[in-house]
Amino acid sequence: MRNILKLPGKIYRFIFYGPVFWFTMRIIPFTRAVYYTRGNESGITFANWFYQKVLGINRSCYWPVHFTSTVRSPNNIYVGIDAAPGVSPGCYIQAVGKIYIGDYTQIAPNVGILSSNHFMLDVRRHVPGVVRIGAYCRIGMGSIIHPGVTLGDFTTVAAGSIVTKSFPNGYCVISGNPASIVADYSGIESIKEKFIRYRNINEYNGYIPHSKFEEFRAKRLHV
Amino acid sequence: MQHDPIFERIILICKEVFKQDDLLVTESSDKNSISGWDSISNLFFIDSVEKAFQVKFDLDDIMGIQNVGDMVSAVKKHQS
Repeated sequence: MRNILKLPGKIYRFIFYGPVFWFTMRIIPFTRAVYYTRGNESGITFANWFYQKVLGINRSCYWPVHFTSTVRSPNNIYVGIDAAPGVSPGCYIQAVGKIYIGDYTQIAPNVGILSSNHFMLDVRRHVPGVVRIGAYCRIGMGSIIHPGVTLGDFTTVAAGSIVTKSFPNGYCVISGNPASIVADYSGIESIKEKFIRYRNINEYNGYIPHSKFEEFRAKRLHV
Repeated sequence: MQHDPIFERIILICKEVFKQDDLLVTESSDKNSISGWDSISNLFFIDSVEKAFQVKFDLDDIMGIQNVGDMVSAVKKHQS
């Protein structure tokens, strides 16, 4: 009886995680990124691919985006290796200005990244800004990043922070509203060298291999 | 163990890093019993121990250090 109950799960796992599935993902050119980014921190799942490329939700994004996240003007966003703003549910990425996300940065659910304000005297006009987030950062759940903010490498933004100012040195933990430094390791070389700059075996900027990304960037992106 | 020179010196480092002069440190003192030992001051603590004993911990050591006794054994492991 118990074996029969386990059978649907076994069939499901064979279809979606079995060797036939991975072989198919590898030989079809459209799904090759799913195979080569498997197991990464922001790897592309089959569900991401299906929602974006088949159903067409967030189709214009060149990196994996959850179907509940919203991305405005994805061509103004530079996404580094293994970084994916919006792969977590509920994110809002507004790129009327320009957004640069560094390599291997992780972005939690419900994060808002804003890159433009309304002009105070005439709300119809936008005032675009530039948001730069460094490599290996962690943006905690529910944080909001305002236009014109620069965050250095290895910045940890605590959950629920409202980042209104720049912290370009990196190697720090920021928290609160407005966000301020809780811990700053940027002046201590012996602690800074403990942070690990790992590299993936297959480097992909979203769906695009890193070797072909500069070509894609010149052709399609405005950043 | 109370007269272990490594342990005595780590007690002094604890008092300095956690900024409490009357801190009572035993081998089983951990993040719950020492107020101010959080994930942020943990890195400062490890850094000052490394400088004091001229050792370099690797990542597995740092993840394994849960209390002061673990720190003493990690220093001993690297000194030998």
